[in-house]
Amino acid sequence: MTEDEKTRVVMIAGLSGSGKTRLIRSLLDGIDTGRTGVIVNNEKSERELDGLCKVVDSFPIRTPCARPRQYRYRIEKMLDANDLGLIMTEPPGLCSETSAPVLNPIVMFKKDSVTVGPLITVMDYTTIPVKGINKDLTDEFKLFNLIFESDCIVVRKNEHLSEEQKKRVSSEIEKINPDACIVFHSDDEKGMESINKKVFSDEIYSRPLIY
Amino acid sequence: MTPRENFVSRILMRGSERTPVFLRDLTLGLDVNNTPTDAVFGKEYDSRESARCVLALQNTLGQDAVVGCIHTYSLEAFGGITKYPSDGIPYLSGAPFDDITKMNEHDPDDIRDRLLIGMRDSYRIVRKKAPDLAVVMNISGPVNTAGNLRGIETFLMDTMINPDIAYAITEFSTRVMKSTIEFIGPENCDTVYIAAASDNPDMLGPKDFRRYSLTHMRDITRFVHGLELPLVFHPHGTFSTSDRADLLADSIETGIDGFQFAENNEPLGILKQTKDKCSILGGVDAFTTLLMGPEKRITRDTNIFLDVLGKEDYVLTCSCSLNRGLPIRNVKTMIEAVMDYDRR
Repeated sequence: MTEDEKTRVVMIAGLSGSGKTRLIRSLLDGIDTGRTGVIVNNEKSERELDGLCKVVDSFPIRTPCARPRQYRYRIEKMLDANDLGLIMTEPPGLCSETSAPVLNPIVMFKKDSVTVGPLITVMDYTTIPVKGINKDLTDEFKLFNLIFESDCIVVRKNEHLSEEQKKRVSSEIEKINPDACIVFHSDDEKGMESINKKVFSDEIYSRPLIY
Repeated sequence: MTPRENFVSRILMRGSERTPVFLRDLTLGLDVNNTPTDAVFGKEYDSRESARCVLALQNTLGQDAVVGCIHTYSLEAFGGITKYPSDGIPYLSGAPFDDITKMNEHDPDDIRDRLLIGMRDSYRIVRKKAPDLAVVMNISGPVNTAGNLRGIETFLMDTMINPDIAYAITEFSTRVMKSTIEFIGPENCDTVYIAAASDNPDMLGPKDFRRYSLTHMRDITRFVHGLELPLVFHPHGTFSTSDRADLLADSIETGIDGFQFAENNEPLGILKQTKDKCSILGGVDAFTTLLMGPEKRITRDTNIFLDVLGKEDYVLTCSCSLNRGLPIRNVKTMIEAVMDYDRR
């Protein structure tokens, strides 16, 4: 199978309520969805996206060690039943865990049929503390890990941010992960263009696999 | 010291000459012998093949402690369904108590079915054939078992909507754990290991973690100590941060002998609480570093743990259990890094 024939898997991560499903919905708007599959992590999101692409599946909550193994089976099941060029997926689990562990088995065991696209993490700008991220506090430690593993950080709900505030948010993210692409996104903004470029380019991503 | 003495000595905080290694190799041994998963979990559990795989892996890698059989969830006794893909890892396909009334149709001792008999036989064979190895009895934790029986989403809903049901099923699970431990038998192992991915404050919240997990862990620990065995607790979730220090302290106060931290924990944060109170287990991330390599990264990450914990009451493990498909060469690299560290 050539690289072009492989299915691209794009992970859209982020804490619960951060806007993952909404971003997927925006990405589906305006692309050829006939060969696109989506895996979300709850039935409500599955219903929301039903009919907007070729196939939607939901992968309910799993324990941290079960989710990497079962996620692989889920991808295999979707690929066996459908001819897909792209799978966009939320991570299974509680959304507070890192996603690299669930992508790795795909890379390891499905590399003949799948390529890994960017790991995109969606976050509400208010979750990034003004004083900077303190790894010694549980919630901020989780945020740190999510930023650290990502290829792209999409900052949502930023409509009322000043340029200075945007700079502060960017600087906090860059301190943790200087390689990440940062996109300040609202649905009607041209930020979608940057995300689209990330998702649909031919670039091969490796940050989740090597950090 | 034999590997068995080395491992037990560290678990009991009595010191030892080198860093013991325990891989919690639940199904990885199948790869060494090229044994299909469904060959062990066939119509009858093949205890001889199971033991052969466990010992073949130990022979290849030289770790100090092994799990005594190729493991599964063993919930068929309660009406659960486990799938055994030929070249894959056993996984649960149905939750037996999704209808809670089914719990009343069962007794915790039902767990002692033909499958568990086969698994016990494997423990016996391993113990007999390798008396110098430490054998660790892998037992699913209270909420972990409850989540498997009820379905984890339903269980989490129960904790909010029907806490009495959640408590009852966790109590039932604790009795299943005790029944299993007693049945496999203290004579066939050196340590009981409570594998508890769903006993997880990130999932349950600290309050419910105390209520559903720690209450029952205290009970289980007393029970295991009554059998004159030490116990290691391996919950998942974050414990190394300062705002979780109390939670870790409460976990240790249940009387456990060892605490294994999972991935995404800082070893120093865990050590601050465990030091002089119980032994500490943990190590390289199984799903990132150990799965993907390369060798340099495995050695680097192993040394990060050893630099912090190598002189402590520490047993090197991985962040999670090891299962088939993981490159054995990568595990070997990790063990070589431990040996190099001890030689320094």
